[in-house]
Amino acid sequence: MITTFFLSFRLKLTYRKNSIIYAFQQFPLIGKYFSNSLYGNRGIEALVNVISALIELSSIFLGKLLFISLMVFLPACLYKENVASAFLIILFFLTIVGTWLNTNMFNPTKDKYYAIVLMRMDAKKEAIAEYGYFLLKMIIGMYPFVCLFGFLSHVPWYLCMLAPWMVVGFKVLSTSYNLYLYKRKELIVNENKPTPIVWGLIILFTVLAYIIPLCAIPGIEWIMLCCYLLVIILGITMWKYIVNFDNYFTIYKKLLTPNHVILNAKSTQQDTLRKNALNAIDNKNLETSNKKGYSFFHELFIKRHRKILTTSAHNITLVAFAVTCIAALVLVIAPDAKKPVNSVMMNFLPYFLFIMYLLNRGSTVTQAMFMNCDHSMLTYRFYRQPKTILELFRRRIVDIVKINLEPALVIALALPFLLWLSGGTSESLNYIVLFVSIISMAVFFSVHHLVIYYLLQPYNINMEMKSPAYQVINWGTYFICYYMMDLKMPTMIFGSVMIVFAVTYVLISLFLAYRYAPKTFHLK
Amino acid sequence: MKLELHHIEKRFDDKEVLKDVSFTFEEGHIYGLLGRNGAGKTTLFNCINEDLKIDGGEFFIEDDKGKRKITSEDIGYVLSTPIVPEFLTGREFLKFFIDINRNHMKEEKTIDEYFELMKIEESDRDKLMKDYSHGMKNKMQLLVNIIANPKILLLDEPLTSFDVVVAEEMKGLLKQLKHDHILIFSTHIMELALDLCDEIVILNHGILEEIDRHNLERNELKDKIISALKGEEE
Repeated sequence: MITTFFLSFRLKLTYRKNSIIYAFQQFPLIGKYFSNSLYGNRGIEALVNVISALIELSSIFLGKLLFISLMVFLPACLYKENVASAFLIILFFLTIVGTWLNTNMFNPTKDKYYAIVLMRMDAKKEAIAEYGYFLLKMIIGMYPFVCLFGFLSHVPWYLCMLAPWMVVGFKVLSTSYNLYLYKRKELIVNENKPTPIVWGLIILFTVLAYIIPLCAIPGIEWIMLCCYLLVIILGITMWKYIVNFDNYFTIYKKLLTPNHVILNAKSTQQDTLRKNALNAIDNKNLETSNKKGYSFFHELFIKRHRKILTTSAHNITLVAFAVTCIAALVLVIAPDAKKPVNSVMMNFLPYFLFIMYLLNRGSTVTQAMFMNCDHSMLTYRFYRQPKTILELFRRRIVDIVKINLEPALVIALALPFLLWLSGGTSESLNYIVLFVSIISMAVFFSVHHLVIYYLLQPYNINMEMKSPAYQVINWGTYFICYYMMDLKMPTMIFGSVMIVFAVTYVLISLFLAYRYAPKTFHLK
Repeated sequence: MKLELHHIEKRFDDKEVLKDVSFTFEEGHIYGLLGRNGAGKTTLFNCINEDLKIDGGEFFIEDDKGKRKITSEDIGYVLSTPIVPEFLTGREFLKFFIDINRNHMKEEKTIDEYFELMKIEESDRDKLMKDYSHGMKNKMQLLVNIIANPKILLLDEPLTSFDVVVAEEMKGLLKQLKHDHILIFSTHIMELALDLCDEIVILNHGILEEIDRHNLERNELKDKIISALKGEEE
């Protein structure tokens, strides 16, 4: 068992070292200085082992410190009358929650995948060694913080001393129950994918943890002592079940599959993007088109993606309409609201830039365009012809603007309407500026996303993002819009600037797209 | 018609994948392009298809009118991993393809006739291609490249995902096609290359060389190819 533990620990150290070197190699500018020879370098190995030991140490103490201080001690302090009993109750119930959320045994980690599946180590020995180490870390890591925060909460010393063992006892109980569940019904628990019932229980016990301390329970310390002892005794008894259990290999064979184990965060993220894009294709009621050539192709793209295009725009429109009606109703019923609403309309137009950014379908649509359409079509030479690129660009921009204009129109009409309803303004040009600036925002974002996509087409054939410029522009757009929320500026000024900016931007970017997209729109 | 490659060079960072590739491919032949893993077969195809920019050399078509640059109508490329627009049904993809290639198609058949050619079942023709198997997508990709009737067809490991029956049918189809086309077929499977291809070309250490199969028994030819792939002198 000990040998197995050290073998798997060395394996963990090795790939941790490799992951650290690999991570450095991926850095944009300094990456090239980290050559492949580093993987076999003894000095680096020693250095990384030290870093790994530090990571291991922090994994023993840091999580427990955060858990006990933030989730148990601080909330317990809010129950001023009985901090000690609150501490005990919260710890007890959250420990039960932890038996579902932090099982270790049923967490399909990379460590287990490498050791059991790839290196074909003995599943039982590996499982028990790994689990034993987990419980040991739990006890060592909990002691200092339970004692410290327990002492600060005036929890009796004997309960502080027993608490880590109670936590471990609960873990052993739940693990042996989960193993029993497999033996009886072949049900395999996956820590990362709790069932709806388990989610319900997690929520219930979390709520109970913070509600029960509200009631003063006489003799809570004695009740807790009995519970602690019972859990510890049962835990010790059931430990034998875990050690004698024989089906670890079959459990891990089913649990450690690529569906469950996150082996490569990058490829998992890509798979998720890909899956989402495929799910966006509507495969019910396959409406077709009577058009021909590229019109046919483009129309079918729009129709098959109505979930993320037209339907989504309709829904946003409906919500915008409902919000407008509610706001109007509030203004009619409660005249006190008129002043603040009027002030919002006159000074908070920058806020709407962020809202229009969030509502715009541009980035989702361009992503689906690539994943479901251009990714495959760009491998055909005819599709990369300048004429074809520009023809589709024209059709796409018209449709994206149209789709985004639908909710924009409702919002653009709603704002002047609410301004009028909330008392209006002496400067009637404000009504027009509000309307036109919202429309210009919608057009701006639609054009922006598509033009950036055409000019910087960022993906390669493996759907990996290869253009840092594309990401920087996307983040930049987000941050600028986000920080605009802090800007208070008279609608007249911001609106006028926005309109002029949007018109100029759209003209320039369309010019650039028509000029350069035939050269830039290809697989990276 | 000929496809001429002159001193093509392509490197990725410090790695020189294509050093000095020169060759003339002629109409009416199927060329088997063999090379070891990572030899640069796909890179060569990507260069000819202008998916990648070459670092040196030139390539062009020579026909009755003289030398000229390759246009998009001249070339079809069947990738080893077939990629098709998954939001379309097989029928819609073909309709779209026929619409835009009608001008340079030799003889237009009905969509169902094309499906028949590839032995695609009726029940699959109106399904979204996102639900197609790998082999079905491969068939579709091969089919659209045949429909477009390009003079040069680059085929990157195209038969590996087909079952044996379909692979045999496809071989027959490619043999029919070769008369007025240049077919360049990359594969790892030597038997396939020997069965199907008229000429064997080897890409080794960034250089393309033809294996002269004249007067050689099959086994002798195999030995010669293996030696060439290992980089041994004759």
